[in-house]
Amino acid sequence: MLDLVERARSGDEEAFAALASASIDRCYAIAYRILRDTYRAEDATQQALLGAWRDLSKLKDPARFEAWLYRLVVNACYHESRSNRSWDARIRMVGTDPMTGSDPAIDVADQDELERAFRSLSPEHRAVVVLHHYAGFSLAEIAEIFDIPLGTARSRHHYAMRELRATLEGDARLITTKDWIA
Amino acid sequence: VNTKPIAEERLEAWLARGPERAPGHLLDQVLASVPTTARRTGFGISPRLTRRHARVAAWVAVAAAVVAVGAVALIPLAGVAPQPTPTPAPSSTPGDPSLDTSTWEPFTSNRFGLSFAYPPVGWDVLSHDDEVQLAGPESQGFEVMSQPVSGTTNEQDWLAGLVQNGIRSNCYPSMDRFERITVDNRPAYAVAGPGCGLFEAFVFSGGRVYLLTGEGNREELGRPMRREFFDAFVSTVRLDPSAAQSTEPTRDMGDVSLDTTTWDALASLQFGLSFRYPPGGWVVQAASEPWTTGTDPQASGTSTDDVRSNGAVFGEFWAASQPVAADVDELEWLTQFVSSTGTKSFCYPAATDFERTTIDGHAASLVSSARCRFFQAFAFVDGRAYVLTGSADPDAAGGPPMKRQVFDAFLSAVHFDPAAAR
Repeated sequence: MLDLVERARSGDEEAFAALASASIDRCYAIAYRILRDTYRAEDATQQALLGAWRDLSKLKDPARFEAWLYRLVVNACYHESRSNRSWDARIRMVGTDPMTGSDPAIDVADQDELERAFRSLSPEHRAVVVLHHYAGFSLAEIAEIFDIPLGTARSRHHYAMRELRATLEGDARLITTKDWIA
Repeated sequence: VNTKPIAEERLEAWLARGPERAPGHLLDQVLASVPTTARRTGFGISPRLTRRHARVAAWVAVAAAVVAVGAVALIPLAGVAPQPTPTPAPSSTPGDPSLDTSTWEPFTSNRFGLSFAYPPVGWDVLSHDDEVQLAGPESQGFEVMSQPVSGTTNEQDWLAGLVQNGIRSNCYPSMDRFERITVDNRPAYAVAGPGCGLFEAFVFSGGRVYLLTGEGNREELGRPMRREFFDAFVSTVRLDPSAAQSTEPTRDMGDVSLDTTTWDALASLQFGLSFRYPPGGWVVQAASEPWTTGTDPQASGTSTDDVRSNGAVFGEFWAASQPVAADVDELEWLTQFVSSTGTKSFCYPAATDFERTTIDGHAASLVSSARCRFFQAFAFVDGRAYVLTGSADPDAAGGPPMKRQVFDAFLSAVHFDPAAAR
């Protein structure tokens, strides 16, 4: 991978094609989960990968390519989400998304509830939730991806989860964690 | 044992559904556009500098917004700085918490040696190893911590180091605009960083420095914190430095023996040193390239010799060295190094405040960053600068953080051999 990044950085289109091929599924999967829209996810993925090609020569540390690319994906998602403020209103019918696999623990009502709760989050909160709970990044890694302090990553995650829980509980009551702390 | 709350389990199961593969035509579209997409050259622009400029620009933008709504008023040190035009206190909004702190919830932190109160509705306490965080509505929050300060450290110097080196350095005004206040009847400093939507108070007491931070408008997600609200919070703070525990992590990386004669040994082919690491299930990753000046030697990076535990209890040590230019002295090198760490520079005190120690008979300096959960030592031997780091960050990898004794044991088994460096 490092060799490909180095070669792509110096302008090798074949190396970049190999990098893009290896990364595009992951980028798209993350973008879809942030944007909840296949067409916007395609646009964001394309925007991120072309941005990577355009700016790759400025990447100082090739070992950070993956984190850097995910930042481009998330930024492209922000751009997509803000390019049309009505995106939140575009409620998709549950069951029409290109789902793979199925979890019997999640029934249709559950999906609908989660979809609505997730759509109530800001793009920044969606991104931290997806990177942490879907892509499996630690909050420290997310802080590095976003170039933000760890405390800010923790806060964003906490606020996002609290909003989700509050929405899922169906009222404005907020869960307090203070009882969990010794 | 699954300790995840049910909401997280549901969320993760739901997120797992959905496409895992991009549509086949998407890669074709990207690659078809590559030949016609102009590349930007990176020469002359440091990514770190670029990020910093971007952040400054963002802060300036937020500052302009905050000033525009007149949300923050500062009282400078009398007779030192020009008096700002007083701004009227913002009117209360329905979402504001009551400033009657008698109704607030109390919380005591023995770890940091203080107690405080917080609004009873909509606020959560998040207890981390390095700070207590209070998360409230509309991205309002407080962060509280304390740490020991050397008896020889001058308060002004400590604050100057924070202003100079902290990640929030651009949030602070100059030192002469630090306000003098009292916290729990003790003299204290307060500062407002309206550009960053924060207020911060510093109290030096009982050999510790306490940091109380109130923030709003995080990344423009919320709204600025009101000064009256921060003052109300500060008025509830009671300090008890004698009750504070060491800021060193109280837990260990499992049952690591401190007898380094039982540890495994690694001789670096790249950097001219050898060290030992605990036996049993550790992964060794040798550097594949030199560590170059101006870069931060990362854990598991290609320019560090890295060992990390591969079991349930996580720990990691990594080491690197590089030649030091003849015209650069140690202090200058350390200052440049801290600068090269980018956002992590917040983890470091001023280079002059690094703890002094000895490694392999050589004078060395050490940073014990409870806030960032790593230990890092620096030694200068025969024209080379060595950096040795130990970390076990629960957030990053699971498991308890590293104890100082473990890092000290690691340092005790380091042997420098600069002549063997490549």
